Amino acid sequence: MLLGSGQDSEGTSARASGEFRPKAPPDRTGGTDALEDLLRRERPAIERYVRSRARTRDDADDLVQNVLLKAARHFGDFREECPFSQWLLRIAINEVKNYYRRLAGERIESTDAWEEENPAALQQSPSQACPTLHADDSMVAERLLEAMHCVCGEDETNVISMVYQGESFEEIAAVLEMKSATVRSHFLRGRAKLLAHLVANEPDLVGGAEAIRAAAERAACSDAGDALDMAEREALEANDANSTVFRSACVKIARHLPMPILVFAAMEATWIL
Amino acid sequence: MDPLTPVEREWGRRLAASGTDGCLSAEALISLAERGKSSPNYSTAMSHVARCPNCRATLKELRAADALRPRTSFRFGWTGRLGIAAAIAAAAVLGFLLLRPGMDVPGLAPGGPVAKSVPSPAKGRTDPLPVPKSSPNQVTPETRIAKSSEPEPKPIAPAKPKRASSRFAKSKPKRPAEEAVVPDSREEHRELVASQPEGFSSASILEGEVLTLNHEVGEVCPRNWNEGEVVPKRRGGGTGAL
Repeated sequence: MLLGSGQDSEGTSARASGEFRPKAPPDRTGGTDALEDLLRRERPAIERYVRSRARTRDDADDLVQNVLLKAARHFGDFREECPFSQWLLRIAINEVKNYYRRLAGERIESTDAWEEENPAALQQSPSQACPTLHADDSMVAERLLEAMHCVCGEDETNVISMVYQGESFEEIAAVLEMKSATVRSHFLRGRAKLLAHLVANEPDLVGGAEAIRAAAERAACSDAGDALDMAEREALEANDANSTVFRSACVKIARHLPMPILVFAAMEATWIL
Repeated sequence: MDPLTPVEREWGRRLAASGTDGCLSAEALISLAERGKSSPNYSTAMSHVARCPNCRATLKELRAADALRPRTSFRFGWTGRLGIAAAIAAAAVLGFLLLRPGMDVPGLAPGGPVAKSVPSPAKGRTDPLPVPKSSPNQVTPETRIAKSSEPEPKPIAPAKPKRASSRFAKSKPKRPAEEAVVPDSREEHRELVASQPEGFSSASILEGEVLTLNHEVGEVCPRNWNEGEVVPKRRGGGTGAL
């Protein structure tokens, strides 16, 4: 099911290959055919979603009609920052939320009214918008993910990815259907394993061997309560990524690593050369 | 939460920037929200969601919308059904124990719903009824004469009549001994029986009651022969006077 919403005639091939690729925007000037094609393709999923949530068939029909009308009205605002099917689904979710609130007798909040009038805002929040995908971003991310898969379990990898992107333990617990305490323990264990692996085997991802040595010296003389003890120093000398003492030493060192921009700039310069 | 280091924040930014490739379809996201870990390709889909802020935001929205769903109908879960079944079973067991035949329950008529079987009276019966044997403690004229030479015995409490069955022993209401009209002799007993109207069959004379056939209601009724008043037998526990 890992497929996107191919948004033009080429979308069919993208769908067949099971991969979403950003496409050129559909022909919006003469775009009734393109829009109809998109809506026809995505309508069954939206209908299924709405019908299983509406109380009556008439309510469901009204909701689906509203979703399609809003999509057609604001199709020109669709910026392709997410797949079309997700954009349509976000409009449907908003419709369903408003429907539930009407059933509960609540007054619909102004933010919903705003979103109702601006479905384009449903594509991505500004903080999430990353319109340009840099090659170096992908490269670093791929190497990180490889390292995670190498030393961490599946749950630990997912948790670390989300925590690094700023999600709280509670939010991650809701997404992964876990207890937040479990999420926390996954994160602490996985993070220690990942940092130990990177320090021992891929030091360029954390700034290089020199940066690690400097961070270790700063951590050894730290007064913040996270100073390296004798056992941790010895474990660093042994450079055994499977040792728990080495892992705790690497977590302490990571707090003293240099500014990442400088680190990655130096790393990218090395790759280019 | 342990604060992230600057390097880790930078990793997070790069992960988010690179995670938007191969976004999940609407159907896959709906399935993930509805079926959770049992959705098809959960592992692959969730590893993408962990990287992709778009899909994660949509999944959160789906779950948030479902959390708003008003719950109008009360649905029994398994625990509720089990609780109700246990309550019904407990009520049935309790009811059986309380209403079991022969159980004395405070507030309920003694004897319960079991009616005492009474032999039907033979019409025109004139032969005397078997006289109950007097207990050794009972004082009759004969015993008085026989025992006159003996020293005066201590007053003895009148003996309780022997009951036919211990099962019905409890169901009989306790009657003070002095109220019972006890014939003193066989002759008196015969006179007593002869004075009853036709249809009289059998009775616990010792307790001052006779049974008679009430022709109006077609039932055997207890009759207090002292008062000459026929009381129709009540159904379902009304035989307690017997």
